[in-house]
Amino acid sequence: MTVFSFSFLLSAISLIFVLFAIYKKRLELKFSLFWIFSCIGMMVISLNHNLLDKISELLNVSYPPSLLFLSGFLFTLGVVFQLTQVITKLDKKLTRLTQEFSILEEKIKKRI
Amino acid sequence: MKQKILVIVPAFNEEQALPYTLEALKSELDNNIDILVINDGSSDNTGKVAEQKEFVNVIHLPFNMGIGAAMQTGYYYAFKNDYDIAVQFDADGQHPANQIKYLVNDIIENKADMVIGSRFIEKTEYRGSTNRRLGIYYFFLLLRILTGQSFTDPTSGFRAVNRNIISEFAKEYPSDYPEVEVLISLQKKGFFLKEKSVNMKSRQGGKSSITPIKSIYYMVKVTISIMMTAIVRGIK
Repeated sequence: MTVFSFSFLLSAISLIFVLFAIYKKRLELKFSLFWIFSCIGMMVISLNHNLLDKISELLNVSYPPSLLFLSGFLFTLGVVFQLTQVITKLDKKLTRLTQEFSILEEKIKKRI
Repeated sequence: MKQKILVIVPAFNEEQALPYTLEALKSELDNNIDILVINDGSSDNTGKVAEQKEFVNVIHLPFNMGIGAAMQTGYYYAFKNDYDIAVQFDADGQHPANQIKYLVNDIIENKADMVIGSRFIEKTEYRGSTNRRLGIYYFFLLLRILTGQSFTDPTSGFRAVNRNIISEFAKEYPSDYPEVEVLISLQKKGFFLKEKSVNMKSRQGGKSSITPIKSIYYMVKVTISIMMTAIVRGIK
């Protein structure tokens, strides 16, 4: 088994895992689009030796499979970045929710 | 008609100083001035101490959210309850209650959108540590380069704002170390900010929240956000 077929297999399993999680409602589709595209992208790159070879020639990479690791790493970074964005949004919402709650609580206490 | 004023006192673990601060504020109370304590998830008796004073309103945040979110709660409250002016007032007793009216005056007379109480316009009693003064001077220089305006005391938390800025803050307020950051963003949005000389004391109890590591984070974070605002909004 070469690193290419191994990488393809791994990406395919990941894709099935992600799709299963969405099906079981353990993962919101909104947040998992990037996962799906990452898996498919990795699968495409793993299958197309020529594509990978061409890109490595362009980038002067002497060992093409190392590009596979680079792309995997970049996809991971992308997912982490997306997560940070989601957390920021959630954080803002949580802040506003807590403020609304506390102000309301004060109002109710004053009436009693 | 008299303008409605809200004095916002954010308090995190200030059970010792808070009673004195609130008593000092009481002597300044008028029928158009209300006091609002924001108990920012304190683990001591800050909340109880504040509740004992029947002349203040108290909002209890269910957990510690930090000064930015706590202050914003106050501004949001002011916005919802139609206050014309909001004053930020520290719980630790450093700010002089008898100078609130002096600070607010320029807003009532429409001379400024925000008035900041500065310790450094005239020589006052205030003596901070050398490091603290260096930090303040650094922000003074940075803001002067980027805004063209001299803020002698950019970190001062003693400030008054009008209705327009209240609604601005209710929408958007930095989560931590907000004092310096809001100066540049407000100025770039076209608000008129002004400083007035104020005599502050040293803190009356409790501890400063700023440790050495935090102060490095403070400098870096605020510098980056000031730069970003300047780049987005254009350097004067």
